[in-house]
Amino acid sequence: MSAQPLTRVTPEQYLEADRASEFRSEYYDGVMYAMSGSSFAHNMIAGSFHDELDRALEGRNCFVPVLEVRLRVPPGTVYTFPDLMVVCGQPIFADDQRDTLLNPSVVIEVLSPSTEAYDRGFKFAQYRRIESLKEYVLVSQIEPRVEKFTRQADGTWLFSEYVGLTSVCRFDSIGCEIALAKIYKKIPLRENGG
Amino acid sequence: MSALPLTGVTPEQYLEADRAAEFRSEYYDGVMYAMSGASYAHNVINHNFASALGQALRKRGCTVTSADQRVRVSPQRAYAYPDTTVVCGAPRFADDQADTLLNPVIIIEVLSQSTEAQDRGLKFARYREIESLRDYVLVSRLEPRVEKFTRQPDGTWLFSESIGWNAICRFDSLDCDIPLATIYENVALRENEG
Repeated sequence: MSAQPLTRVTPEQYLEADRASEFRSEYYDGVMYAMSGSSFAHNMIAGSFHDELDRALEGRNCFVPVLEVRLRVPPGTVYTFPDLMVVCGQPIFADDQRDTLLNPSVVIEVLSPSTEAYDRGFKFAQYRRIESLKEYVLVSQIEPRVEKFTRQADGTWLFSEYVGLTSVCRFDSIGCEIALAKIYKKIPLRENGG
Repeated sequence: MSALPLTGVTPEQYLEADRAAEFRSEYYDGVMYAMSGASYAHNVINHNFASALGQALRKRGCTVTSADQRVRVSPQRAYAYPDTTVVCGAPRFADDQADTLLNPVIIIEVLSQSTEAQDRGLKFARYREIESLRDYVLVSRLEPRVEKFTRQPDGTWLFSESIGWNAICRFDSLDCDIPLATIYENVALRENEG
């Protein structure tokens, strides 16, 4: 998240401002946070992951919305733009603009040094409130590593990880497998990516 | 971890330097990271948790140390100083200096803004490599929240959390309950203490 928060606004004011704006902002408890640009590696990883999910989910009940879909977290004081989401069945939107989703089954974030603490901490805590969410996925830019939290029946989450280019990550909630070699195929992995 | 790491260091050089130094440094893959001091709230939380665990686990033959105990993470590429470490049974050491622990069963880190990304990410990844480790615990300084990762037989980790003043952090394998009211006793919880 960027270092310059704006003044306090209501969720309605946020949505109005963000929809009119050229650049995206997230919204946490009254404050808008302009999103900074992502690294090349970040974008390539997100793009490859998107393509692979698209392919794997073809003809199925679940799909990947195009990039830059906003997510609203109940009870409605947090809005984010996850890198990727998977929706199963009918997508449910916050309003008739149909640009703000309520019911992803899977949320995927590509990690970067500036966002990692939030992605792992605050954001994950927020996303846990989304009832439809079954799997939360964190993707490294630095090495071939995909970490996954899977919601359990009792409210705990199971943490598992897939490491190395020969690994294949499995998403039980959407019944598909994605090879890490495909996710990382377009980028040279290097230190301090992002 | 502080801002100016020393690079190209072997584990042997690290141990020699760290043992001779006044301040502590951690070590990851050839790089030494000097540790900066923690906030007062951080230290009180850590002490409360460590004391409570020490009391509760005494009869079980477990010992608790906080802040000054070096831990070696296999495979000999990483050394850290967790906020609190619990050993059950005989502690095992890297060498006869008996200052570098090999077999913690619980590691606790109190989160701070500057360390959260590593505590949740890279550090947790390293600590997972410690075969003896059963529980990895993250303690918030912003609110009464304790998150715990518990190793499962299949190598995954179960994530659970205890939230609120009346909550209890439970270690099933040790039949041990630590109330959050105890962990946060006499602590002023404030946002952005840095």
